Amino acid sequence: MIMKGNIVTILFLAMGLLLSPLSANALPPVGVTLQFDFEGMGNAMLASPPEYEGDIIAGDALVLGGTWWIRIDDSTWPPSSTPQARWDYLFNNFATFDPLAHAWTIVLDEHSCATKPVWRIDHPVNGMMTGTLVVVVSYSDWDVDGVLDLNERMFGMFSGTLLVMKYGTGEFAGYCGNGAYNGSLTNDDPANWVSDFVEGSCLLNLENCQVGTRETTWTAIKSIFK
Amino acid sequence: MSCIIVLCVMILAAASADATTFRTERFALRGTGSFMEHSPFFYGQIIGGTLFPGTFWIVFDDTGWPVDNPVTPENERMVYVFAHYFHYHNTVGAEGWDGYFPPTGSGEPAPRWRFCTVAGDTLGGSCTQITITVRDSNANGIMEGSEYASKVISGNLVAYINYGGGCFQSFCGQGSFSGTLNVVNSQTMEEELYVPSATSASGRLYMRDDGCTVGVESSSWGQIKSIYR
Repeated sequence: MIMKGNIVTILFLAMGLLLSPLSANALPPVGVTLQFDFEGMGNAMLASPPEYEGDIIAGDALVLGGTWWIRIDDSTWPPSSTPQARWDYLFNNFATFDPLAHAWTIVLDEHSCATKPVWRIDHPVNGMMTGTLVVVVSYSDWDVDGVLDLNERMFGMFSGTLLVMKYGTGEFAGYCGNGAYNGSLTNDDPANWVSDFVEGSCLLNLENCQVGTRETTWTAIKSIFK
Repeated sequence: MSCIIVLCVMILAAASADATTFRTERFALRGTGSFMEHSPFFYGQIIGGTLFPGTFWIVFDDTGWPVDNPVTPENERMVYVFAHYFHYHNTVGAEGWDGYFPPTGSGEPAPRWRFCTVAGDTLGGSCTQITITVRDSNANGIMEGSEYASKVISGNLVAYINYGGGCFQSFCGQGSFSGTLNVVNSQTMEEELYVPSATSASGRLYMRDDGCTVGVESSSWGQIKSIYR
């Protein structure tokens, strides 16, 4: 009788495992770090709102095969119908020149845009996640003339950090976290405002925000910093 | 016939003289450092990519940063860092602090970096900006220890010709990196800088041997060079 009970229990456990909704790519309950490479296109001068989008081309299976986009709030910029005025506005107000590095850096965040830029990743099977980000783009002054020439705008570097909101779906439902990314951008013809090609790498730290956040007091951080 | 050969040699010589050589390098990093140090200096290993194996360092300029007073409950140094470099944003669901080194438009000295490969090749320059983000997990507007302990970091790099050595002699360029910056020792506030990964290096450097200008060397940069070369 006891043996029969054990067999029934084992069968139930086996059925439970077979019927489990967790896929092979399921996120672990606590969290996970994802790394992936991406590429895509975008045009901050002619598109309103500017949107860069593309594919995830390598990396963790949870996101590989998915698509991504970032969207920038341009409501405080000149209209996209006047791209030169739009560029001048961005460059004159938000580009910082480093005289030692001979490079300009433009930060796209809630100060240079009306709201902080947003991002999203969609995977055809595993779901969607979204959040906010900071975009930092740098161009070099190769001829050291203090002018960002058209040929110097043909290649730039970018990097930034991002926050993952807990409004994801599918495997990402309930997960939040942070991340960082970097890469390069190429523009074949900035004089005619053609689109940028971007490629880069990204790291995401996801944690299960449904289980509650770790509570620590301000006193605790003081003691940590002591 | 000999005229044609001479002409060909001249054309080839002229072409090679004008040609710019481009190199794309990838790197992954793992090292440690602390903002409590003077100067905040992160040092470690190049763990992947085309520059592996080797070592790296990144140093932040801490001019004006106070030291912590051990008899007060606050950590004056970290309080200053938070106030000077970080700002809070309260987008619902994405609350957190973004820190810019140097602060945008401040004109303050940028962080500096250097790579040394085991093969003897060297690269170095400055970071036009390093961004560090701390997530406010419980959205209470207070940076707690657990939140500060798990940060993300990214940056754009400029490589100066005067720090290029070995196969990078006469090269300069641009680059970028991203990764994590996590506290690994809460007593000493030592933190680990990790730029992934050993098998898929995410850091990038795009080098060229044309149009390079000499970066300006500060006194502190010279001191660090002499200590860590």
